[in-house]
Amino acid sequence: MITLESLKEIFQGFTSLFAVDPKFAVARLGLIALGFLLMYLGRKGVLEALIMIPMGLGMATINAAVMFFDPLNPANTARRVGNLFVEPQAGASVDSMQNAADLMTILQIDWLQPIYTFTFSNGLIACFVFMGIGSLLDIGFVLARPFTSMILALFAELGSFLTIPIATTFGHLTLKEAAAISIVGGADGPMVLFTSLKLAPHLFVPIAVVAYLYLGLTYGGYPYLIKLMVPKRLRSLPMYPPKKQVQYSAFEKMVVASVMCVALSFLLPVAAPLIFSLFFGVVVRESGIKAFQDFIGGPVLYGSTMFLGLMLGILCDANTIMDPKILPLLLLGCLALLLSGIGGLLGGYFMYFVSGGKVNPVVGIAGVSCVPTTAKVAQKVVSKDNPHAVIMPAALGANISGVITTAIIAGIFCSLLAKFAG
Amino acid sequence: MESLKFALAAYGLTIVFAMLIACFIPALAFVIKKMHLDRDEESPDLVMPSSDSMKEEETVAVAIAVAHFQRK
Repeated sequence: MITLESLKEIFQGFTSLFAVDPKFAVARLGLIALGFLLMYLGRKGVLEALIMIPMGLGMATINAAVMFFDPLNPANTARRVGNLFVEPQAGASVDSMQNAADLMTILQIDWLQPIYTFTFSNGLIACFVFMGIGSLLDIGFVLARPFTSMILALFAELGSFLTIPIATTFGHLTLKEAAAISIVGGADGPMVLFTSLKLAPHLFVPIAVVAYLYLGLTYGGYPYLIKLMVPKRLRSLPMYPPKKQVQYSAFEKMVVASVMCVALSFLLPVAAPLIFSLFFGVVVRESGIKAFQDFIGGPVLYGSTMFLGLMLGILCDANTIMDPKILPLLLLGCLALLLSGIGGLLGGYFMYFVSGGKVNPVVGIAGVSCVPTTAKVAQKVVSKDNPHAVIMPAALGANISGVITTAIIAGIFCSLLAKFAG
Repeated sequence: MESLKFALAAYGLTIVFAMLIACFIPALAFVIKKMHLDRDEESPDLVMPSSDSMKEEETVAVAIAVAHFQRK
């Protein structure tokens, strides 16, 4: 009755390990282990828990739940392996009629496909995350030091530009693909999703995975970079508020944010969805509408972050990770963030000398706009050396300016390369 | 070479835009400060009065009236 063959059919997660190329089987097991490791590091606070815990579990599960399945052709007996979670390439064929039919079929089969198709692959989830981040931002920090913040942010974009020629020369990527991966140096997850969708949709999945994996790693890696580049004497330098600091009311901040939103959208319509989302969050925060603020800063932000992490984990199946294009993308993403970190700290040194020693160089790392992670990293490193040194307000100013400069870069890349063939 | 030129051009444009915004922010903040937009600002009251809040107001009004009467 129950034969070995029937057991093999039941436990397809194991059977499929032996039915494919051994290197895919090893990759699946490795990714399951990596998923557990990310969860552990997230729980321990080494990496960003909000992304890493759902991502780690998603990664481990998707590589376990592999079965013999062809959703578009169930009668296919060619032992194609698949899963019941998501099909990233659904609806990506040339024939639009076939596309719609395939997508509808997949939407009815894969349980996370609606989240992927209707929120992830069109950038909606990135906009939701930006709204939530906006509702946590106080633009008063930028108003207090607009030039310092903007200069630090510009230095911290070094990786977004230097990686482009490196990617085309050594990674053999086209200019559009190089720009899509280089913007990882801006360290702004939603902006990376948006730019890769516009410039290199075929690389969207690996770039999104690489970007968020590394954004999580900045949390663990940047403190070492800071200690390497900034001596303890400078790390412990206290920072004081500007002497002539003007206080702005919530109403004034709301007006500034609204005008900036419209002005930036005039300049960069390509990045307008993200610019609007960010400033909408800021406006809601300053408007005093507590119900909206609680909704955007709570369920919208945390719900989107949770599904984003989960989706990224689900996309980390062995087939995607073993794509030959992913290794150069992994290296280039890492390089972009490293160069941006170095650029940020060089900016910190620049402001230290320009201000006559009043700016702590560590604040430069916060120009890498991973809001608010890099600002927290900067303060954490400084607090270890001098518990009385508070650099958080200046760091948050640089952080917010970093979001603005990354939006500018996304707009420039998308506009300049829109009609570019390569 | 083409990608290097593109990267430099894009960096240059970003610096120009960012500096324009850095000049624009304090200028805008200064103008808004001078306009005194929030001099009559009241906290937005978006909550509908409930029977509880009306009762509270009545209680406060009665307490004020009693205090006024006692002072007399």
